[in-house]
Amino acid sequence: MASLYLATKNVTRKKERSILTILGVLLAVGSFISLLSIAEGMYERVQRELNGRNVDVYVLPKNSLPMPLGPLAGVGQSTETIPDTIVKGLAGLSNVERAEPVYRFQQMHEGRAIVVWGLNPEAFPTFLPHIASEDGTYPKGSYDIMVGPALAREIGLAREGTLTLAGKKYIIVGIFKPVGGLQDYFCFVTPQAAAEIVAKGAQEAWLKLKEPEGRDTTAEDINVSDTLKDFRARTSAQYLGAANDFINFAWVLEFCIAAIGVLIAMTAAMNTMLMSTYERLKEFATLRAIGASRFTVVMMILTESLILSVAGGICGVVLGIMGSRLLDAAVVSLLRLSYPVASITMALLVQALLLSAFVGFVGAAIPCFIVYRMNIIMGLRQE
Amino acid sequence: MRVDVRGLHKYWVLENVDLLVEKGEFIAIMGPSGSGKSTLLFLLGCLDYPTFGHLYLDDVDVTQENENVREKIRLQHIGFIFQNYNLIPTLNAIENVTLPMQLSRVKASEREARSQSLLRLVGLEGKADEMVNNLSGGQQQRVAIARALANLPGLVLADEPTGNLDARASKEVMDVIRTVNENQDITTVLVTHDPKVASYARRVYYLDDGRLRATVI
Repeated sequence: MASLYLATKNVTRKKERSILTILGVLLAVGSFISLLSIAEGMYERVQRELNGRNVDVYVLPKNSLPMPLGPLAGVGQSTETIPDTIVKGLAGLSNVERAEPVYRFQQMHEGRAIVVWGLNPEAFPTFLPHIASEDGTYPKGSYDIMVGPALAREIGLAREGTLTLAGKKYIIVGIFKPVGGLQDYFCFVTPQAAAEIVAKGAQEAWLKLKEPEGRDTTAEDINVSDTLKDFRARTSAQYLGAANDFINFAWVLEFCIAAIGVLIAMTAAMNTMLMSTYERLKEFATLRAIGASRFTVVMMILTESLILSVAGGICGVVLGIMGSRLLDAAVVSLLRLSYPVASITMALLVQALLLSAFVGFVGAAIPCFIVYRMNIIMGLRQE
Repeated sequence: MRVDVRGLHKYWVLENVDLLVEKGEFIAIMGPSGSGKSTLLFLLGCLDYPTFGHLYLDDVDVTQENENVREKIRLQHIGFIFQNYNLIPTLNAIENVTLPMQLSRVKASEREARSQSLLRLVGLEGKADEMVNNLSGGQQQRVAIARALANLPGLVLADEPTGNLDARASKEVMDVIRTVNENQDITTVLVTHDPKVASYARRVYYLDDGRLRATVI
C-alpha cells in the first residue's frame, strides 16, 4: 500500500514528467489502434461475409488473385472471368446440385465506387440465405436492383426509388435486412444485367453439392483441374483460408509499422524512468534508510511506471478511436470505396491496453534493477 | 535502546572502534572531514556491514542479521536525521512525517494523530500541508526530526543535523533534539564537527583517522 501511495503522489505531483510519459505511450497506443483497426475491420467483415454464404465449392479462373474479391471488390479486381458455358458445364456434373455464376464489379455513383453483384434471384435462398428483401422481392429485370441497408442509409435510397450507376438508371426493388457484413454496402442485380457490363463472364462460380453418403464433399469431388484446365476449385474453408492469409499479411505489415511507434514509446518511457531514477537515487536511498524494504521501493517504481503507461494507454484508446475514424475516412476517400474498412474490436482495445502495460513493465525494468542493487550509503551521499 | 559497539572495523575507514551508549544517553561524535564519523553512524544505523566487529542493539548482534531483519530494525527502532534533511519532495510536511508509520502499517487514525502531535512538538503545527520545498532549512530539518520520531524509535542518529543551517536555525533544531532526548528517553547519537552543537550532548567522542581516540567530558 505504501508503494501505491508513494507512486500516486509522484505521478500527481510531478506533472511535467507524468504528462510527457503519458504522451509517449498515448501516441504509441493511438497509432497501434488506428493502424490495426484497418486489418481488424477487413478481418471482421470478411469473416461475416464469408460465413454468411452457403457455398460448398468456389470455381475460379486459375490466374485470379488468391483471395476472395468480394470484400475487396474494386481493390485489385481481377480481369480473369469464368464464362457462362463453363458454369453450365459445372451444373451438369453428377454431384453438383446447383451452380451459379457470380459477377462482381464496381460502378461509380456521385464520386464513390459502388460494389455491384450479379446473381440469379433464385440462387439467393441457396447461397445467400440471410440476404432477403423485406417482402421477398429480388431483382428480376435488367433494370432492377436490390440495395444493401447501410448503402441505402448512407446515400439516401428508398424502395421503388432509383439509383443511377454509370449512366444507367436502376429501379430499387428492395432493400435487404442488415446482415452485419460488407454485403450491407453492396447492390445486387441480375446476371443478365451484370453481363451487359462484364461481357467476358462472371468472376466466380458458386457450387452447392449433393452430399455423398457418409462424408462431407470437398473441392476434389469436382475435380475441375482434369476437365477444366484453366480453372481451379476451392472449398469454402480453402476460400476463407486464402482470405485470412491475405488479411494476416496485411495485419503483419500494419503491426510492423505500429511496432515502430511502440518501440519509440518504450524507449521514451524507459528513458524518462531511467533519468528519473538517477535523479531520485537519494530519495530511494532515504526511503531504504528509514526502513522501506527493497520490495516496497521496487514496487513503487513499477507501480508508478504502470500508472503512467496505463493512463497513456487509456488516453491512447481514445486517440486510436479518433485516429481510426480519420484513417478510415482517408482510405475510403482515397480508394473511393462505398463501405468502411476500419473496425475497432474489443480484442484490439484489450491488446492495446496490455501493450501499454507492457511498455510500463519494460520502462520500469532497468530502474527497478538499479534500485534493487543500489548501495544505500552511495545513494544518500548523492548530491 | 542500548548501543554496544565492540571492535568495529571498516576497511580503510574505521579501526577497532569500541563504544557503549546507554539507553536514553545523548552522545556526540566529533572529528574532521573524512575521519569516519558518518561511516560509524551508518554502521550504527544498520545501513552497512562492518568488515569485522560486532554491534549490539539492546543485546542483539545486528551484524549477524540479514538485510530483511535490518530493514525492520531501521523501520521500527531507529530514526535518522540527515544533514540535507532528505525529505521526500513530492510529499508535504505531514505526509513526510506519516511515511514511516505507513511503511510499518500503523492505523490511519493513529498515524494522523501522531503526526499532528509530532509536528506540534517541533513547532510546525501550522505547516502540516506545506510542500517541504516551500519550507526554510530549519523547518525542513524539524520535519525530518518529526519523521525520525514517527515510529517511536529507541535510537536517533543525527548526521550533521545543523550542517546546512544558520546559527538561529541550528539552535532551534538542537533544542528540539535535546528536548526529545530528555523527555522521551531516546538514545541519541549525533555526528558533528561543530563544538557548539556537540556541547548539547552529555558525552563527546573524538574520531580521528578511523580511531575513537579521545573522550571529552
